[in-house]
Amino acid sequence: MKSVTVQLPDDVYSRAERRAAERGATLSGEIVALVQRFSQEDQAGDDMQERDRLAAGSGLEFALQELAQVAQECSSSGWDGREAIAIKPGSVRSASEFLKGLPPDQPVPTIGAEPDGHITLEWHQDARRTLSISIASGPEIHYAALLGDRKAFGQELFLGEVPQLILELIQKIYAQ
Amino acid sequence: MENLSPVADEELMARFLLYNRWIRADQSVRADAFVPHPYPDLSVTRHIGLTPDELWQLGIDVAGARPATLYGRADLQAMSVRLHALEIDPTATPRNHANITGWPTEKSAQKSIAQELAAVAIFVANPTRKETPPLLPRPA
Repeated sequence: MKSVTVQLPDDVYSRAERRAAERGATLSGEIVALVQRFSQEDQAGDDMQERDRLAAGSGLEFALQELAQVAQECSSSGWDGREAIAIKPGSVRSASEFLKGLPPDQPVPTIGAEPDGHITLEWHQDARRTLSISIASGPEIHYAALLGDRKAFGQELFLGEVPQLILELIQKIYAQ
Repeated sequence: MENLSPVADEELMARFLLYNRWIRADQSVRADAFVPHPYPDLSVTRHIGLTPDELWQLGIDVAGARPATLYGRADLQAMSVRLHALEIDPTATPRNHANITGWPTEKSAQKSIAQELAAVAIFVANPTRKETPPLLPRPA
């Protein structure tokens, strides 16, 4: 039997959970699919550095795919079954640029949408360790975080570089 | 039948969920579901005086009018809403409907309250839909 080493991203388990829930598939099946996927990517790279790049890049790839799905689902008004505003292409571009601007070692958010037409990126550990940012087509991003018994919220500008405050909040969400 | 009686602190209210991405894999609810729109109201349905079947039927009616899929509901106690200086205003129609009002105007402040509501909301899946598979606990 041949043994192989597979480089998996830190959030592979949560990705499998999400995919299983979304597709109505089994968790074990989705874990196997992800391991196979990263195994194939490992074979594509000849050295450890390339494998790390691929593993990290795949997290971004997942998020961008999810963003594309949300953009499609919310492209018409009323997508929430009520009076939601359609997500604009400019908002999708801004969210995409934000995702690409995250350092590769950062956890990847899940993507959602708010009825006022904002795209949301969420880093979520549990009910009281969670960060959400709202992105529209302008440079303003609105954030809110629950950090145990504390909370933070406000507005930052995204001008091509992810604000340091947001990076610090992400780290706090995942701090032990 | 309209129910315009004042909402008691212990009353439960349902936010019907018609977008599946508002429900996380662990069956909790994203804050996105509680962002008020059209501002300044968030639409909910009071449980009071309804059987479980009648409550679900109201959700099905909401979804059917669009049409949309009813994935479930997020239940909130009135007290947990008032904790954030919000008010609950019953409306004459539809049946048992109420608006959560008094939201701050600033978007991030709305998000913060929406996160607090999501943190205490209880998700109940629509029993007429196929259930998602049970999730295993997250590894330490």
